[in-house]
Amino acid sequence: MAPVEVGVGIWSLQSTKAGPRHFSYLYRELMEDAQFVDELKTIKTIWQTEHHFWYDGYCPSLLTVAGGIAAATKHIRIGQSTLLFSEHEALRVAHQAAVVDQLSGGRLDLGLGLGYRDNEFDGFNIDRRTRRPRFEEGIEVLRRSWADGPVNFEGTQFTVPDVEVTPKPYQRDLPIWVAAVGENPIKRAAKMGASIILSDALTLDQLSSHIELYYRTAEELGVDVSRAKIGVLRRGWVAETDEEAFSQARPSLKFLLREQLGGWRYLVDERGEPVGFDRPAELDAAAARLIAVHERTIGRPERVIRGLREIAATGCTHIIFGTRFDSLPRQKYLRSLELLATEVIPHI
Amino acid sequence: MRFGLGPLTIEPAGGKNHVDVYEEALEQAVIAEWWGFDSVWVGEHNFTPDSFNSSSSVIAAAVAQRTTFVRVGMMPTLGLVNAMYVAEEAACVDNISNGRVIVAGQVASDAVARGWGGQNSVERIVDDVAVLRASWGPNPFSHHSDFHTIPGEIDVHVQARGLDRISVQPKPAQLEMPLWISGGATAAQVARELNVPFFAPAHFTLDELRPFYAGRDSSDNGQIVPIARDVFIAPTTEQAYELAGPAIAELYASLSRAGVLDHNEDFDKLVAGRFIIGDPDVCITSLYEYQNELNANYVVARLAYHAMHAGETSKAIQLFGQAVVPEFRMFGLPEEIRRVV
Repeated sequence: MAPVEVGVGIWSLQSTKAGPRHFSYLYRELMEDAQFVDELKTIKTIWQTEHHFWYDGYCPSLLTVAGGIAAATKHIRIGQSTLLFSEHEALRVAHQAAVVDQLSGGRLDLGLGLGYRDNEFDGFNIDRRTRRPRFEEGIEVLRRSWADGPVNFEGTQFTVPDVEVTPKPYQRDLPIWVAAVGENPIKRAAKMGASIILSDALTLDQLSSHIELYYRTAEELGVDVSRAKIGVLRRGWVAETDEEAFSQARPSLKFLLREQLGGWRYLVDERGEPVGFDRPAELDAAAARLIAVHERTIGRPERVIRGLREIAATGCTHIIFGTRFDSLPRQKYLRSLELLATEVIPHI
Repeated sequence: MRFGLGPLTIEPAGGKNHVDVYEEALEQAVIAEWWGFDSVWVGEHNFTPDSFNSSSSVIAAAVAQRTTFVRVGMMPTLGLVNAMYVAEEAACVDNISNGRVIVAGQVASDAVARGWGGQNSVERIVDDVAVLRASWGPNPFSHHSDFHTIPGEIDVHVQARGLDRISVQPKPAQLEMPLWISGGATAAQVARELNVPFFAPAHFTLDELRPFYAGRDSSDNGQIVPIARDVFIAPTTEQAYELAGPAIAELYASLSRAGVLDHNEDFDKLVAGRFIIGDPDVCITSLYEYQNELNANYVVARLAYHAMHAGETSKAIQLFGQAVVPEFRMFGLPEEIRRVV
């Protein structure tokens, strides 16, 4: 088995209610963090995340900001977990991704998701019901844009006449990752042969069965996924001792799961139905279940190594180590990244 | 008068690949900052056969990251997509740069507008600007026009039901984002209607520019009257031509193939009324002409041509910063000090 890769993220650039910051401070900190992890070498990828029109300024323009990250770094790959592709114009994403890839010398891992918040689709006057065809046609627009020659695409969502997108990406086969939440999205991703990013809401058993489903589907359809990567988002935190790690990370993790993800109806109850602020008891229970999942990658290096090995054993090949919690002291945050890079990753 | 570097075109030329020229552009931005330029400008051209940079916002973010003080000129093409995307991107770059962005919205050519299924009419560009300004302003807003419905009113959007306004996040760092309009006759008309600076691309001749700039008087009201020019400077005029002539000719051949220009003339014909190539005195004399004829008070000088050796460009940026900029910026510069450099 190839060694599992570890990326870090997911940078959202939020000025939250509990930790309000000037946005310029947050963006400067992102660039400093990017340089910091770039120099640590063992961390493979820096991951960004996107939302639109959210009250706390959640970053809406990932590829633009990726231009800044590319300029700040030399080695690290730059990924999106995820760019909400159905909320965008595919031709614009095609151009911007190609430019980021050239600027960075081929370091882009383009991670795409559907998007789900009604308000975001409203902002761009897009009917949310079209998000799946927009996604699928959009992928085709990307592929044709990056291939030699003009695009020529006519679909129900996008029409691109006889124009050639330039520049092309640096990478001949620019990696596309797809957020796959649930069985049908996993099957669709396998059909595309895309790398996948699995949800942070999955237990280890669920991860194993989802990954198995991905490979089985690809085999049934005869799709070559030998180069595809299986990514999973896991929240995590490393400190000198377990107690220190828990005391630093747990309150922030709880806030993240309960208030943030809860606000988006991202968490699910035991029947798999989305829960939001309208069902506080179920939301508390869902957050508690997830804290138990993510606590396995919070602690001293030995504990986190064990937690990451468990994830790798499910067949996952890239772990997005989610270290971005609200309002944690910066020095402790940088120390956590350093421990991850020097004491954890080399020993997984 | 103020000075910027650019608009940078960033196409692979002179045997360089894209990675080389993007890095070269970022280094040139830093050099311009060092030698006292006010701004660095990143252009964007779509569907060009010679692969010009196609995303101003991505490279503006990169310039913002590498620099500390210069303003970052971002030139998104308007009218192609929902203006909300442009508003968000510019706000992000403004925060990366801690409030240094100037947005010069470009008006697309017919061919580019067709490729995007967009528009390049005065009405559309004016409408896009209205969306940009509302997005950057402090209040949640709604905007209903022939071109935008913000927010959309879509029955199935249960969560969004009843929310009749939207707030673009993050807000720019600046209180008010400087906004210019760049392009030809349509852009000049839009700029006039909106009473914002019109920013002529470098390829127009002085004669072509006169009607666009008529009535723009910068003498007493502090109004910015910007202009872009293809400029190259060297210790002697002969050297300047020798170094930059072929590179500028190659750039114009590329622009012609891209349809940005509808003519591909001999270099000698192209130079007249268009390029500023020479020693410091030639450059100064020529810039006075633009100041006097058009009331221009903000010159964005290209200086950077990727077909050239990057070292020659660095020297030109330095020489321009030391020998030309002071003439226009240092009002009252004593003659004894002027002669030192």
